Amino acid sequence: MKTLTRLLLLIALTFGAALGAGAADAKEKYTFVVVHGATAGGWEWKKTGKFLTDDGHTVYRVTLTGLGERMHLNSKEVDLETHINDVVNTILFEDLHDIVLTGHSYGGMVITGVMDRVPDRIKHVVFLDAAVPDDGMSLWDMFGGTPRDTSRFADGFMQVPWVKPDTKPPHSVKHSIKCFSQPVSYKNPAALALPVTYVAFVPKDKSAEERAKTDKSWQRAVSRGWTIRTFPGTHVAMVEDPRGVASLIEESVADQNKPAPAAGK
Amino acid sequence: MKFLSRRLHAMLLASLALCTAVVTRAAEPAGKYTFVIVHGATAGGYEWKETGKYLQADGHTVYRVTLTALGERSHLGAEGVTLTTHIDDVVNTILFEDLHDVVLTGHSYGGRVITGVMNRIPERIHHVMFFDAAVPNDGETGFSRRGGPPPDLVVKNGRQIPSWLNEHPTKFPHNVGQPIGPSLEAVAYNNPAAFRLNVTYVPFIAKDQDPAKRATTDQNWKNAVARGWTVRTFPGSHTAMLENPKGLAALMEAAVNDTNTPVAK
Repeated sequence: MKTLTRLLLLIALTFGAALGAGAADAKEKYTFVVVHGATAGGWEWKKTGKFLTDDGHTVYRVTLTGLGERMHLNSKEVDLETHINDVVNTILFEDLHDIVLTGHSYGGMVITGVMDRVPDRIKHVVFLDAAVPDDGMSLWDMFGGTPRDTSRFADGFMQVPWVKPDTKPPHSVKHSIKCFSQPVSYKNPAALALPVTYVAFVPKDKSAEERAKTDKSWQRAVSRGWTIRTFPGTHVAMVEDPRGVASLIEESVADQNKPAPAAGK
Repeated sequence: MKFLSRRLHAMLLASLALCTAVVTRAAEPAGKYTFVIVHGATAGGYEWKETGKYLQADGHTVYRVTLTALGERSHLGAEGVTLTTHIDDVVNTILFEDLHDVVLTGHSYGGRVITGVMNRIPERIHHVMFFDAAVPNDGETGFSRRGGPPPDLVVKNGRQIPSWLNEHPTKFPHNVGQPIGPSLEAVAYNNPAAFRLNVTYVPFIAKDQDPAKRATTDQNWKNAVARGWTVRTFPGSHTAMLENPKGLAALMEAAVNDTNTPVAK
């Protein structure tokens, strides 16, 4: 109960602080680097990106190798490292600085690796209903090991059986399992010092309090002193309310970490 | 002299197109276009960043597609990369982003890529621009016109290594060896709907170059004229977009409604 109270207090404080800061920073323009989730593509963030662009920001929606419009490069050799390189090289080749890096779902694994590699290029990070791994963890590790129900896994890929060959793009694409089994590196002190916002998408019929008790990503975010925000919606809330998610991302930029609890983890 | 009259014709058409464009824009304030920009060999989307910025500042939407194994996608191996890979990079971007009425542009080697894109999805294209670019005929490889690969060609790990290339760059962005595969693959340009697309061919004319002379020797230029495409010259080196990005952006905006000259069969 004590933890819960503290969490709620954190959330309330966060929202209060964000409102104040939002007004002051209304004219600041940022460069957003947006990373999508498993089986998806940059297309899933098109509308959110459009709202951010309309507000004067610069938006890079990186599509990860083998997925979305890069589906012709799909192979079971594509791994988490490939995807981290997709994002790191976009930042380096486009010469981006002070970026706001966001990751959705599996994208949390990717941006964790990006934080570790190029923390000097990052102003703020936003995890959107995303995986928050510890150093050395794979996505499988976060869910207690290789999935026992293997019905959706075949030939080195997580399958998307609802996508037929004649499905009109954009559509999901089968996702190489190596992306989920490969551990991520997260130990660069400069990465650990970055200000981060963790956003949980909470459906109407679910309780944020209950989720905070069981969601390991949420708990890691709290233990690291990251700002916690909730947003109403399903796991793909950005498709349901792209304007709302865009505003949330804009407001989150000013979030500051709290000193992490002494106990650490 | 024949060239001069054609040139005059092209210019007349161009000014007509300009008038039309102005009228269209006045009538429909939305008069904004979606540009899909394809870079040249060894380069990446980064080479068109400044030009893209000027187009965006004018309210257009810009996609700078970086081709597989180049630029920020250079961590993807060049082995196995073909011309079809690069054509897929662009076609899938258009399909997954659900783009229509695009203005498709290609620079240098990018002319071979956009030729393939024209052939595949002409129904998505409003206008095409070739910037100092290859204008291949149906069935031509990158080496067709010279009768095969040059004798001094150096290939390492599936990449062509020109003598000027720094193979161990430390600064970003930087050129990388061009995959050899695309040069060996013949391009398909046999779709009647692709032939009907309005195209502008833009040779970059260096200070010491005589455009009239080049028009008679440059096979790309001659192909453009033979196809009834509009020809506009732009002053500068082969990478004029780096020297005068704003000027080139203005040319792109002016050329979007150029109309082909009927050609005698």
